[in-house]
Amino acid sequence: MKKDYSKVYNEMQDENFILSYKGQVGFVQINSLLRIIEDRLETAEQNPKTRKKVYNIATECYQNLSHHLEKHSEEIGTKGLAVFEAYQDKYVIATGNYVFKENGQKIKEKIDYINSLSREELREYHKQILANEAFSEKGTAGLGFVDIARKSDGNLRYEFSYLNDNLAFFTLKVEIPRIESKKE
Amino acid sequence: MESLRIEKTLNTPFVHLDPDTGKLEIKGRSVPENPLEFYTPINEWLERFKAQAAERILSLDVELEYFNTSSSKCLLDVFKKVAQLKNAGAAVEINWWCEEFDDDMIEAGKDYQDLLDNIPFNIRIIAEE
Repeated sequence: MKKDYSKVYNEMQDENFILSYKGQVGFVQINSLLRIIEDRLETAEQNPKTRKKVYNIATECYQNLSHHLEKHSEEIGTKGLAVFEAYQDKYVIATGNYVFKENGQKIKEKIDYINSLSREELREYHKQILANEAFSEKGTAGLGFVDIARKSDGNLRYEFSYLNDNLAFFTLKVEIPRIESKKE
Repeated sequence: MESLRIEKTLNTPFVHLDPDTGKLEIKGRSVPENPLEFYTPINEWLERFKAQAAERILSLDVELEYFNTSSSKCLLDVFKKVAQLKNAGAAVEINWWCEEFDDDMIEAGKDYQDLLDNIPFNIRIIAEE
């Protein structure tokens, strides 16, 4: 079916925008995406606190995606999905990629654990990893999800859609409300 | 001993470590793909400085706009190196500069404060221009 982009265009407010990217998610591509987002946020978001928070979370989400795919590229390739949506009342940052069942299970357990923690518990958990755990071979710190959860106030949502017994599509979604910029 | 100066890029901060004045600066963004590679020369410089640390005054100013979680671990390593200079006889302090509205940055500073209880780690607010 034909997609009517005039409808998409007209339904969006001027300050809203949607960016959706599927493809190689190496560091270079992620950087290009982040440049566009930063540029658009500069005019779309008046509240500097929200602007910084959103950009920070997007950086962490997309770099996380990139690192993850690089690590498992031999089996599942290096293509991923990176989405950024800006609305009147919120921002939505999402990533999507294929994962093997075993890996998906680990991710699920980690996010469930993070989501079960209170704000203060999350802070302690973050500090514990920061102080005690060694770097991975890729130089990642294992702090991505924890950091995103803290900055977004525990707003980590995920979904696994299983293709078969072994492979699932993992979607991570973070919503950040635009409250403060709208209050005054 | 030579000073270490690294110009800032889109993903890495400006760095200036001056052995004569004891003034150390890390300013800008730290969101590199491989932070270990970026921070290694800084840690090596601090290691070399140890030999002349006795009775010196050292202050590290960190003023970051953004940093990723991989950098956060590297930064902790840098701070621990600075703490070692205290053990080698220097008077050290670290200043973590934040914008007033930036609760996330202030909170990150508090985390470091908790993890570095043996040296002064000050959270400072950047004055508005």
